[in-house]
Amino acid sequence: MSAAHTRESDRRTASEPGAGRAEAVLSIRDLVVEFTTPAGTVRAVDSVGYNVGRAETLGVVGETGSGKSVTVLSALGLLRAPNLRKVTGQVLLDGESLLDLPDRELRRRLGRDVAMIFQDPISALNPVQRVGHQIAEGIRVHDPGVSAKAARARVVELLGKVGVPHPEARFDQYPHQFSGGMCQRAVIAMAIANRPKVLIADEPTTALDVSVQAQILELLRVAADETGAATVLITHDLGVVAETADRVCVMYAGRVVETAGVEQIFAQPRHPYTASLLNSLPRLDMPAGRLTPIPGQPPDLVDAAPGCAFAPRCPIGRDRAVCHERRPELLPADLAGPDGQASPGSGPASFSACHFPAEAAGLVGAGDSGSPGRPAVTDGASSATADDASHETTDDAPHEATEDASDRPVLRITEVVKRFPVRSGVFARPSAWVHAVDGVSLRIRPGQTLGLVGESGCGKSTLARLLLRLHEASSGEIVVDGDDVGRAGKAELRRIRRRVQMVFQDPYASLNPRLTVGDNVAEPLRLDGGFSRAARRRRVLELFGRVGLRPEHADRFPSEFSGGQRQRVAIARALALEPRLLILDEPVSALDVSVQAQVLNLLDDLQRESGMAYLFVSHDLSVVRQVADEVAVMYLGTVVESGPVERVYADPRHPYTRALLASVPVPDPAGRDRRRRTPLGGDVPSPSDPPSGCRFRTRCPLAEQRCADEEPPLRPTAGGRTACHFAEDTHHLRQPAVRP
Amino acid sequence: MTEGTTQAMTRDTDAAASPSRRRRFSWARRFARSRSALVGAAGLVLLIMLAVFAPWIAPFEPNEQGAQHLLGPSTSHLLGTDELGRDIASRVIHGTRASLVVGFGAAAVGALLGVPLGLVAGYLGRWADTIAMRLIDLLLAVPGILLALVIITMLGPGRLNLILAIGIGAIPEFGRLTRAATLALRERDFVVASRGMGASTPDTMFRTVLPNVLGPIVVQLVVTASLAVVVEAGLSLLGLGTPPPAPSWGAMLQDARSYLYQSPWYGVFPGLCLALTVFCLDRIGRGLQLAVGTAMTDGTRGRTV
Amino acid sequence: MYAYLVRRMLQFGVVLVLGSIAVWAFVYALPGDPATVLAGPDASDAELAATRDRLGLDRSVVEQYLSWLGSALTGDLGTSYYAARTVTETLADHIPATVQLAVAAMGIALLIAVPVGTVVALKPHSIAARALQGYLTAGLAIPAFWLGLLLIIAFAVQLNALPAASDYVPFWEDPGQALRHTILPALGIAVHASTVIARFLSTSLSEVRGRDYIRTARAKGVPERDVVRHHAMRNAALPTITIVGIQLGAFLGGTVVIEAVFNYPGLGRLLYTSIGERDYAVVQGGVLFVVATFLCLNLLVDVVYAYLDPRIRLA
Repeated sequence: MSAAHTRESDRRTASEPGAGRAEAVLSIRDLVVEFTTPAGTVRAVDSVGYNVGRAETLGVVGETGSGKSVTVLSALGLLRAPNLRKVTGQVLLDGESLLDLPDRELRRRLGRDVAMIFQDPISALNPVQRVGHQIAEGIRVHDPGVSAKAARARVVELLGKVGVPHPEARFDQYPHQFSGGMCQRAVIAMAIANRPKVLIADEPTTALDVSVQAQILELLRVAADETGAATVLITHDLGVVAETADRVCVMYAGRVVETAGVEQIFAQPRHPYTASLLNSLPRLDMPAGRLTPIPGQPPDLVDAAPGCAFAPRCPIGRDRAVCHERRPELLPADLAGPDGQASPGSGPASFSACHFPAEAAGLVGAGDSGSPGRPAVTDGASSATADDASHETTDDAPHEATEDASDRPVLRITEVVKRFPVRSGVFARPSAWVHAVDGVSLRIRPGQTLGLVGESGCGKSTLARLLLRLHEASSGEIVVDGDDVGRAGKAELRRIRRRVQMVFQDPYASLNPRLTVGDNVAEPLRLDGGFSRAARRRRVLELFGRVGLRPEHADRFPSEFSGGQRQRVAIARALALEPRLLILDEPVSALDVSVQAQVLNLLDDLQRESGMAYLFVSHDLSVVRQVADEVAVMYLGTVVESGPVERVYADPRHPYTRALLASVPVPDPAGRDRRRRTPLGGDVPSPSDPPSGCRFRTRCPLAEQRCADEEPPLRPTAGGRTACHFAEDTHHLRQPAVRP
Repeated sequence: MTEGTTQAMTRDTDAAASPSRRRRFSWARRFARSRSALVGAAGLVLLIMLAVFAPWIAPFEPNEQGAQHLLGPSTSHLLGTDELGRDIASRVIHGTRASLVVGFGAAAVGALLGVPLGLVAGYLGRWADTIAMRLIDLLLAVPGILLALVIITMLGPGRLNLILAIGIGAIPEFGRLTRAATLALRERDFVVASRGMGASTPDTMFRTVLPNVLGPIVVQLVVTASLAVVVEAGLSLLGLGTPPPAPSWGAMLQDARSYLYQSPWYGVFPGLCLALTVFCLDRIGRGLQLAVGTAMTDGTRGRTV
Repeated sequence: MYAYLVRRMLQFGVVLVLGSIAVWAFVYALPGDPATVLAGPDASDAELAATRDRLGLDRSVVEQYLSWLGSALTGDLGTSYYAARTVTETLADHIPATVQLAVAAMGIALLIAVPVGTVVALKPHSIAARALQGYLTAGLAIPAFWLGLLLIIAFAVQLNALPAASDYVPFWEDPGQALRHTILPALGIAVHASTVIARFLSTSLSEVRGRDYIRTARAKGVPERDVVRHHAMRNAALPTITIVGIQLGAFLGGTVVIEAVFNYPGLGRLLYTSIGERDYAVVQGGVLFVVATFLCLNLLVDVVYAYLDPRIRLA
């Protein structure tokens, strides 16, 4: 890799943001993109510039609306929004200005010199055309001389190279016959077909499961190595960046706020946004303390304030006049700022758009405990940090509560099974059954949080819905607070549902858009029937206060709120009847990292105040570790491992748990080469036809004949429970083979 | 902010920022931003005024047979006279009543019957859906005007029967639209949440689902009214619509057919008014469609009469 | 795919049975004794007795329906008292005329709709598209029968170029005459239908052009023309087929009013005159035919759709 090499050049051209201009294959300068909206002109991309050199991987990170995707799409002329107002600036591909090319000429470069990989691989493929033909089209459009036969041979070779099994047969299939991961492999094959100079991957793994993500990231790395392409990897995930990028470019509110080498970004950020982002991230490689969220929400881009866009949320600049008055330019960070202390030898040159870049690094880790180097800052920020410090020790409180033997579980489920029919044939008779949940037993004690983790399709969300009898369980027993949910009559079920409430994943879908947020929160009270209109109103206002919403906003409609605020509304609604158990179905998955931390902290506070138990369903292992006391890992409808969080995360005994944990990208580039990624091979088998014996055996590196014959029971192992015949031996397990 | 105010304060700082300043765009404002929709709305208001104030606006009684037969346009008879010497302008103005009343009446009947049908079919699914869909298929299999003809034959003539006959033909459109919207909503989180909070099935259906499908239904109401106006005219042209001697654009077209050679302009104005009414309703429908953000309605829309 | 199509066939079968029940019950819903209704107002006592006997009014309702259905299935739909012929013969006289008109109208409609819809979707801001938008607005607002009347005034009354009343001339017997007699009513229907189809196609096409796979095709470097031809058009055509099928079904069901305006001897006018003459056996048979035709056409659309869409074909 030429990372070191480009860093050298960084120093030479320190006046220009980004690395090695001389070798830059793709260079974006002063790019401005504006949209016309009813509310006014939105400047989605504001003077953005970065360079990527040959064989270099540039990670572009930012939250929703930071302009990271719009930048590349508009640079390649792929942005076709009808309200696109203007695109100005320069985009140089090997010295040739793309924005000045006529559409026809531009198309000749696309797919040949610069190729793109998109976020949602399934919808990125034409549903009515064979996958092979779609890849072949990309070859033949740039080289009409290639015969159909030759193109086919080349595509089959490519499909094999990107790890699609049976490429010859897969060539003639349609996208709907591919899994998400396979679709992304096909899209990657399409992208590297012409050995492009630049490969742009726009959130290539966001729509995929963590084990598949690891496969795809590895594939991208191999592809870039092989073609020697410059790679731009756009993502919201700091872990992905840390694992893959050589250099990082952080975007916020349509601007680049910081660029630097990957080690420097994570160790010594020069912009408070970068530092705050790192602080708000729950991570597996550090002890789980209270998170430090970034207060507030990203700014409205319609009429941007004159100062730094981050200033209102910034622990450094919140109360400094200069930050609100003057917009900081992206400058070499070692030289910039009125009181900038140059820190020579702190790694390759970095650029920061902050008036006080030297203070940013001190923020990192400030959320954990009084780590040294925290800057002397204003009241607002220190109240936040004081808050964190005060919660340092309270993490243990719920554990003590559980020691109390008199507490009976809030939730006890025994051998619960849910099968869905797969209907087919003329009469739509069930021809097969999907075993969504297949014999799961769990219990949650008052005041405790059980984390339920697993990849998509493992049955975790179905299980959550069974608890409220939103689906009818096929068999098994669900007992809430001593009452059997399955046998409850209408009135009793209603009483049970009072005590169990649910918070959903997508805050945009979980509130009734036709009711004000206040009325949404009042719905459970109305349905309960025991509250007068005035009493409901009082209760709503009180709940608004508890979840940190302004009571005067109760009469507004959900569409006026951001995702994080809506999730607060949803939580307030769930709290209305003071439930004993809250089912949280991926409650933070749709939120950006900084807002996610706010909601996680809120949930933490509420639990401490009320002693509610949580069932926290998530695909995100880091988030679950952050919130849970106990954790259960699901795979294909069964729990493969469960136990206290420390046990499952520190000493995982099931090969699946181990692989899953190893797949999570660690937001720390230091030593990433030593942590060789260990992607789990293949895809999850179909739940309508699960493997015999141990369900994981088809992907398990330890599988033997016994695993096919005998289903391993979930048995006590090392302080937790593991469903593996070899639970005692798995800690010797070496990494599974990288490629399937 | 003082130190020591901990939790509540931190919580407040992050959520305090008021809901994004994006102004609230109610559908009315979005509707008003489309000029063509406003033109349509203005035209419809004008037509409604014509219908309401017809006796004061029209220069003659619609059935007054004073003048010479089949006169051309002149200052005394703006659009001329018909075969009985009645003033065509006055009859066209009065004909607005039959058109609008039947048009909107039929759309209302279709919605009142079709929406609950679609709601029940989409929300309950299974056998309720099967029965509702087969009923809808059956109604769809007979072109609207033929269906109306047959129903009128059974019910006998009369304005109310006319409204019923055309309205029944509009059930499938409302039923399918509502069913599709309900199906899309049924598993949405806020509907599931309503169930999870212990709401009864009717409560969820009518208080949570129905208000959220009203947008497309309102669009369909306007679209259906525009189709019903045409069907009414068609039936009147066949002599089975608005009973004579009440003036109706369709019936006037039928009369005009008999005097094409003597008085070619006879059929022009009733038809023009009909086209203008459809035009206005179509513009309003499009504007509403954009305003409430519904995608295309399904393929049954707008069958040629 | 076969299971899907067989299921659709069964569903249509159910609808057809429901339709036959409705059609059969129709005469019973009319005011008066069904025998009088069917035999006609000036039937002799003997004729009445024969009809009563055939209906089997003394038997149970189920038996009456089944016996009616039995004879209907063998092609015996009763007798048209007015024409003094069997209903089947009467229908057979008028159906070809309607089929010829419907096919001509759909042909013209598609010839207009496909280019118009495409231009409006692909170049929405061009002058051509704006003009065509005007056509779409006007074409939708103008009822087919009024357009027909205007066409008669223009081409028959003023120019005296075409007949004001159209006869049915089979195309294969005399294409020239067939054209002269079919063109005006067909045009009257086609203009309205073309606007409906064109609007649908253009909405569908613009929607498809915003899809991710279109962006993928562009990112591959496919020229815009081929992006439209190979990727957008096929996906946009799929839903459009459905609406074309429905329109054609409606045409075959008899474009009652336009046939009345042109005095065109098709199924629509037959049904309309039969209602006027209280020849209800013909109405029964005609409506049954319309329902069956519509369902068959829909089935055909399903087959085409399933063939073109691999997601259904390979399901």
